[in-house]
Amino acid sequence: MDRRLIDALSDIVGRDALFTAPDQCLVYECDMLVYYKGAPDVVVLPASTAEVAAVVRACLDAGVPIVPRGSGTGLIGGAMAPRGGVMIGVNRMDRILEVDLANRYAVVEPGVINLGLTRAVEGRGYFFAPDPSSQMVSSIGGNAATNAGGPHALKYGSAVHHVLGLEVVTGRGETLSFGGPIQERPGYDLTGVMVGSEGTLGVITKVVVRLTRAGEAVKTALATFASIEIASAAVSAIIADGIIPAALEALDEPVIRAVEAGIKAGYPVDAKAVLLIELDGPAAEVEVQAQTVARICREQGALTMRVARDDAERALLWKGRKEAAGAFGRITHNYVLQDAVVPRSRLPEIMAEVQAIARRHGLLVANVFHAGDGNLHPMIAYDERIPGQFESALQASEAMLDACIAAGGTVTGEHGVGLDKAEKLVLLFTPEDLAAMAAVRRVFDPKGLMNPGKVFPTGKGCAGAAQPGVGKPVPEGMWV
Amino acid sequence: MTPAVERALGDALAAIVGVREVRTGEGVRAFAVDGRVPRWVVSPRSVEEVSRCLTLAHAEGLAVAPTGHGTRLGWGGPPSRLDIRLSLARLDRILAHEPADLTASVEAGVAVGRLNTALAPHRQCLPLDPARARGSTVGGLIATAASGPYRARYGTMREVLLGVTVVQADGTVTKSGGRVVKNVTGYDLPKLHVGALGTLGVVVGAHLRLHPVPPVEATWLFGFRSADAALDAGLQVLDAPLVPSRVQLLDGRALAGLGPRGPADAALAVTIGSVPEAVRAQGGRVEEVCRRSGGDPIPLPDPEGWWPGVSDATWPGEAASVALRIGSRATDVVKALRAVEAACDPSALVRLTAEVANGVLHVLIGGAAALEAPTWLPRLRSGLAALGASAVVEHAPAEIKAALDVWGDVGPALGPMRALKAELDPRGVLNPGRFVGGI
Repeated sequence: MDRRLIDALSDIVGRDALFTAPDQCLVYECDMLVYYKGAPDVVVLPASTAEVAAVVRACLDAGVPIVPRGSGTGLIGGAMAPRGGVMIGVNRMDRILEVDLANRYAVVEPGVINLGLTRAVEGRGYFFAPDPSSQMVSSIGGNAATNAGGPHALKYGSAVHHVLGLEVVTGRGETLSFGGPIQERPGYDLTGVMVGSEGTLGVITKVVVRLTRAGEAVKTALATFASIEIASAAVSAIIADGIIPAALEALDEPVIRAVEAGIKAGYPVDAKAVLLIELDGPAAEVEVQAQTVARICREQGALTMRVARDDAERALLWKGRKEAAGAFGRITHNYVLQDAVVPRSRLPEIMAEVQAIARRHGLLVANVFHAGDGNLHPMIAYDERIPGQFESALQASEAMLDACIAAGGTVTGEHGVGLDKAEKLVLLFTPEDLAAMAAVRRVFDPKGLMNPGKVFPTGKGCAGAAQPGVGKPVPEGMWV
Repeated sequence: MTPAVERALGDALAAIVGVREVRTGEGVRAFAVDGRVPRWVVSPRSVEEVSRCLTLAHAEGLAVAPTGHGTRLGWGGPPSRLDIRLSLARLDRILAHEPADLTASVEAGVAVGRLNTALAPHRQCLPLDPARARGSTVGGLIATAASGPYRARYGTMREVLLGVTVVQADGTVTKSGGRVVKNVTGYDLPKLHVGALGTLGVVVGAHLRLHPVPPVEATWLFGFRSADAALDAGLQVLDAPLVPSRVQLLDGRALAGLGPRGPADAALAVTIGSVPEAVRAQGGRVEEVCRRSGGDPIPLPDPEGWWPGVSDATWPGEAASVALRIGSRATDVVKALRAVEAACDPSALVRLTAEVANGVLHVLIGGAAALEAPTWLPRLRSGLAALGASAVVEHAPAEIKAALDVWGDVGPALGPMRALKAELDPRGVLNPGRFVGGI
């Protein structure tokens, strides 16, 4: 990389906030999908919007790729630099700038940690609703860039429903504000299209988020079933009855065993499947809905059902869920993770299909997923020491995705596209559909330097876009 | 355009949709948009026909105004050009309803009332209740993002739109989003069409997220001695662990116009929807808050019949009126009201309602003041600017409209908005001149 650019960047952010040494940049070579490797040439950690803007402009002038990064907990090969260039880590921009509970919003810098914002307002009865399992470490800027979901997206929606406005340094080098605390305003919803654009339109430097009033009561129940298909049918029955739980999560036998071997969340180890059902809202409503949910689960063949008696038990049930993927990682050599969605009424058949695909490939599949949304996360176990097994696991994962799309589903529900699924967009979208997206890209990033290689299919296949590395595609301790 | 060219183009349109679906001549006067009469009113019956109409319009440089039932045709600036009024009213099929998925797929011309009637047996609904919602089409609510009292709980079209099929300005048919409730595959282009007034593409189909109809819904109405007291009660309701479906403020005139009589200068109406036990419990909390703030309960014998009247209270009935929509912070709703009174004669304010949770005010101005809007609107906007708030003129007599900017200044974001329009509709086929900044 041009020494003059590095000197210019160093002048902007300061010598301490810039790395070029390969061993320092190595830390930034991947997100939590470590299969895709691509270290940036330079990492900068700006402290302000003005510094971000100056960095972006310098990179645009030099024709160098720009890759924004929050906490790097993505699962898609997103915040990594397959074409090298400059990575902008927003981690030092971590101040909560304003909290206005009367108007139910906060203004935060992009590096603020998701859970940190909730911690700051929960004493007053509010919370930031998007709750990806990584919420204790993931940044709100990253949540906005990827339109992150989480278990409570079922009732509260994904990040896009909680981002009211953004300040962005676009791929033209301009600093612009879209939306804001006032929800009703004229003009195109540029906030809406910026959320979920995965850094391909600009670098988010400020986020105006909605704060949600916490419910009066919360009840968390665990129901066990004889199979994941039966549990899935219960999910549809609950929704069809007119109840939208705060969360409706499913775990199957291999995951239950892994959780109990590690975290010991109190899931029955003899169960073939469990549903974690959370209801929140007015106490009287929660009470009545809990009875209805219990009845529906019984009618659908639940073997047992118990309600967490206190916050400690509730927290433990959730700990099992949030760390389930990591727990599975500890008992398997390696696994490939899929994120796909089907209309929720199709869950029973798609779960049977997922099992059948795994069997056909002679592999174990474990499932922990957002059942209420129809958002699957099958984890396909393999052993990298056995030749061909990794390839087989990838094939199985792709077959599962194809099955979901055939059932009216989509390519990704909450993790995003990144490098990993860019080529998959053609399964869903025509060249004309993609051209419309490319038109939006040109508005904000005419040079194509913002996070290049992500989201849009290249037509060359994944291997042409990045160098697959070695090691586990998904590391232990990651969050799904 | 020479008569011969016009005839040839009319024939070309007739070849696409059939001669009976192309109106022209004297018959189209009634279809004027802000006084501008289209050359043709065309009513395609399929996506394919819409596409071919737009391909023709694009090739010939014709200006197209897509419409549904025309409920909010008065929104937006006067068209700078208008050749084809493209009615989507005949694309009116409900394509799918999956009760277990809480989703529906519809053509753009389906009216919200008809959709909700079809969903009712399943106790599901599309909970959007802006003025005249029943007759409004789904496509119309996408184009306008019209806001109603239910926004407090359910949002606007932005929150329920999962995917769209769009015919682009050049006739290309594209889709984005999908029919599942959670989806991050590619850019969220459906959001761009919400509130875009059809300037970025003609939405012909939509996948919608539905909501369950609560087992019981009840409304509490309280009269207050001042709008400040009513707002304060509304903010307290929102700060309590309640789940209100509507938190609507009404000024005294809106209240009086709706029937229930009381000596109140303002009122607050709160709807709770849930299981009966929770409706009672939450209603008790609402009563407690309102009484503490000095509110007096006003009996409401038929809330279901009353609410559409609240949405319609600020609808322009007479031609010489101006309807405004103001966006402010929730806590500034009364300050915004005062800004209206300060900018134009308070007696000109016919009625005002406000969605407290979302800071949206609906204002109807009548009498002589309506005709003087070009004079007081800039004053109002500068008053609102101090609050960070904005005012959009939803309705004004055509001759008044020509003399004011219905949208107001949208700031530096206008640059990318114009660039977006240039990318997606480079020839200015779709609703030219009607959106922000003359887009």
